[in-house]
Amino acid sequence: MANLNVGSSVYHEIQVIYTRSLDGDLLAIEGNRAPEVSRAWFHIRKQFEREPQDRKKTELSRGAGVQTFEIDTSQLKDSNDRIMLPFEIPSLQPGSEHVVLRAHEKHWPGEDRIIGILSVIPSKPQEFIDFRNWARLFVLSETRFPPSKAGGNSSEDAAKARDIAQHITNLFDDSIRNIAPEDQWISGGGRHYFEDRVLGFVERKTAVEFCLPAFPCKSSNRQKTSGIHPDRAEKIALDVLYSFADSVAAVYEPGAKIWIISDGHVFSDCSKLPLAWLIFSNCILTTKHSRSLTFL
Amino acid sequence: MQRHGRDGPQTGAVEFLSLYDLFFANQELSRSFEEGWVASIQLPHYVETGRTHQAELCRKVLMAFCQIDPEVLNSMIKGGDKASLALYRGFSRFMLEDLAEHPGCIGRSVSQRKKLSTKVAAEMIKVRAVCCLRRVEVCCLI
Repeated sequence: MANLNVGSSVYHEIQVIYTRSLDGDLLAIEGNRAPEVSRAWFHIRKQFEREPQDRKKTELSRGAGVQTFEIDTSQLKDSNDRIMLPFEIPSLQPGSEHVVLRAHEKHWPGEDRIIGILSVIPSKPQEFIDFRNWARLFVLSETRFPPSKAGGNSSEDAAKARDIAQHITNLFDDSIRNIAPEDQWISGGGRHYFEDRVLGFVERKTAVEFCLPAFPCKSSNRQKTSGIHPDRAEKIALDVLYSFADSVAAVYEPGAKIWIISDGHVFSDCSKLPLAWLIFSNCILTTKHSRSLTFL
Repeated sequence: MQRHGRDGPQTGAVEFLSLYDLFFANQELSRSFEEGWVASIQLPHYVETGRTHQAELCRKVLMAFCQIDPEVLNSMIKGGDKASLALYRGFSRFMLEDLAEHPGCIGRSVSQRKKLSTKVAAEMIKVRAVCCLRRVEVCCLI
């Protein structure tokens, strides 16, 4: 299947997000290249221990610090002397640009761990370089990525956690999953990926967090809507989400948290909906999504 | 399955976040951000409507953060990729309905309205929807 997710933005440059100990132990890792980076970590950590000449450090407020340095990929070789992390930036143009693997890390004073990202960056100067640096700092600063698992690590605990994750996945599958033609929930490993993400929360005994881009704005076509206010359609949609959260909480004490990423700002200029309507509508939704209110 | 959870309605289980919340809730990061960094990003607007500075800024930041190669969708549609075609046609039909009462569409021929709808649909898919999904993907760790 062709891939729509091709580009050279900050997002596409980031290969993995990780947390490590001050000694270099890998504590947690996420991203498309997580398995490969995990396998190469023994070699990568050696480079944290040296002091590369290109290492740059920036002090931030409250004593936090950010450092950035290049990973020498020529040192990342397996027992057969093959490069373990070949990188290129997918591009429609033939051939690949020369790229470097760069680490950006942030450490808070008093913390015993460091959060970092590995990015594949072209050697040649990039446009929007100031924004790119800010965006990487944004990812480092805003990521919540607890490495440790709460509670015991016995096989019994692991089996129980997996059981709960499977059950929550079943609840999702049976109630709110959108089923599209030729979907890849089973054939493409979607269910397995979803369940592993749920397991990550369950192992840490935290609420399972879901993100849903939705509720942009009301349609400006009066043949499709009753007006600018949220109506029973929105009420029913929210009730369905609440019902799902209830069902998760019934089998898993920390429960579920559903973040609706209201994407009205993304699309409102495409639908002739004045932003004022969007803001007004969202205000009403935010205040009225208490389950005790009745919609017309 | 044995129940390990809690009973009763879970208030506060559903919350809204806007793009502005995602990008600029952190005051230190907001203070260090300069709008000039993304000023040169061009956003096509095929439909006349009210736009605010904050919304335009959020869209530009989204694009700079997660934009895909604009030619990718075109090549996939021309190449007959089933999923992309279905998405494009679905968005186009949806926007044809949504823009039916837009002043820019009233009085126009069906083919003119369809042309506008396809332009808007392409913009929504290749630039906005994918960006938003990528942003949400990053948000999953945030």
